[in-house]
Amino acid sequence: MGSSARWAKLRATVITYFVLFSVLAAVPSLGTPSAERLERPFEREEMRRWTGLFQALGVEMDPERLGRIYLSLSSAVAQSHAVALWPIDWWFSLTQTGQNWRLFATPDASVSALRISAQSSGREDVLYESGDSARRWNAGLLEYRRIRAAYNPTRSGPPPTYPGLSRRLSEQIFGSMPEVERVRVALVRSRVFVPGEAPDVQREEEHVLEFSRPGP
Amino acid sequence: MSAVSGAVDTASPSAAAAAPASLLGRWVALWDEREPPTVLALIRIALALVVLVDLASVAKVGAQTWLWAAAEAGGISVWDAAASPPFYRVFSANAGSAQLLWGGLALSMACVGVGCCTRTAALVHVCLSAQAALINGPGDRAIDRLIRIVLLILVLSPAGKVWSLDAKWATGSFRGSPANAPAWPRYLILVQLVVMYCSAGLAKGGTAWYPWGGYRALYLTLQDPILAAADFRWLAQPVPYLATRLATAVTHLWELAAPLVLVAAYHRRRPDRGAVVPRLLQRLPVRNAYVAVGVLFHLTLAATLRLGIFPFAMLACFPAFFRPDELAQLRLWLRRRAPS
Repeated sequence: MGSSARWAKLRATVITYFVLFSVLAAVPSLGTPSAERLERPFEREEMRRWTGLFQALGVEMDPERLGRIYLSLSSAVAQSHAVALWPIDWWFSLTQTGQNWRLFATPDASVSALRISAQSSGREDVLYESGDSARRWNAGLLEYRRIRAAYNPTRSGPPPTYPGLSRRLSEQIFGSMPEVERVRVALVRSRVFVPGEAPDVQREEEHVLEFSRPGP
Repeated sequence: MSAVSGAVDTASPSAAAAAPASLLGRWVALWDEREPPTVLALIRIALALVVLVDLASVAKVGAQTWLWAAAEAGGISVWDAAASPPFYRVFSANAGSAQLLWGGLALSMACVGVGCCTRTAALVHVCLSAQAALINGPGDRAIDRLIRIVLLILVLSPAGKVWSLDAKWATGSFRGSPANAPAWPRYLILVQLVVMYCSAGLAKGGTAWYPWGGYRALYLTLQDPILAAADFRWLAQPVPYLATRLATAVTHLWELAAPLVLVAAYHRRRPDRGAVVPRLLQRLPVRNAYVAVGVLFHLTLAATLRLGIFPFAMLACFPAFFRPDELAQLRLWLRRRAPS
């Protein structure tokens, strides 16, 4: 066997290794559900819809049973993933090139907006609010994709960078607006109007962080 | 196969001879094929432009320290001293280090773009980008991962052999020599795109992506104030709402259909197969249709959602769907139509 043929086989072997494990890694997991999470309104509604599908297909199913099946299945998938991927995990970890491609996997009618308010002399002004064209303080920074990821919440809450981002924002406000005494950062949760459903105009502030101007 | 057949050579006679003998032989021969590296060079340049625009955006809004500095130096990420990212075991935890990381990312990507020490520059960028991911996990998006994957493929590819300073130094011309070089890096990028899209389709477990959830996924996403590029409440009107539901179905099917590009390519390579489905896949413009929908999908995303570089970086990888000779034909066609 010539050296070029041997080289071709070696290359094909290495490529097969990476392609095989990349494909395995890209097989989606079923998330990390728990009995508690399945009790949340979104998950309960999802279970109800999936149950409806199974029932329409003639499969006897109720949301509780489906939840149990889902929990055991997702746990089995997660364990299989871990076992199957151990030969490539080192590479994914070293290069930060995992193959988890969950892009807008579970859109929700419950959405959040970032709200940044400044209080001075008993008055509160909203400086920035996502989606509000009149409140655009520092919008360039706040809407840059990597910064947006620092506050855009999932159903489990905001990312771990949210407190750090809020603190930095408050420092910037105190630095540039001498009259501001307090800064308030919050995620305002609301429900999207879906045609065919009753409108829900309730807006609720969550994950509120307040900062006072540091003393001289 | 429209995407990976045509103007390719086999590198070694032994591999070529083995090709028809067995599945294994054909597999080895596939990864031994050769073609001009022009498509890889185009991906290299396009991706570099997109990443440089992104890094320029970071500098414009002054986010370097926010994103990549330690908390005590103005960063928004927090980590235990014992688990500090390798970057901060080498460099001191101050704002200057975050600027240095940004500078390294920008310089290495500029080198990738102009093809200056292309392989080394791509590797350096991947290393720095991985550090950026370790420093600020939430700030590292799916597209950053994809860029690292593509760059790692380019590290091992002849992408710097044409349209580069490397080519200028080697041949005296910036164009370089479009002599045949390994084709497998392009095939791998194509496989990566297929894997990514199909995986994203399979991962869509929310009922909003399915008929029994009302195909509401795009409508809901467009109402998210953090993501939407404009006020899309008007989409609740009957006709626009129906359009979003149709678009949801098309988007999901398009993602799930990604492997069809490879299946069609396989059958185009083996025209002797007489079954109905292979013949259909040989005749239908599967790849071109897939690419056309993909371009429309990504441009729509760019216009309606604040996803940063995601749609553009994905489109920068789209040349991988085409053979270098097809790219040359397109250039010729564009030249003929360009005003003289």
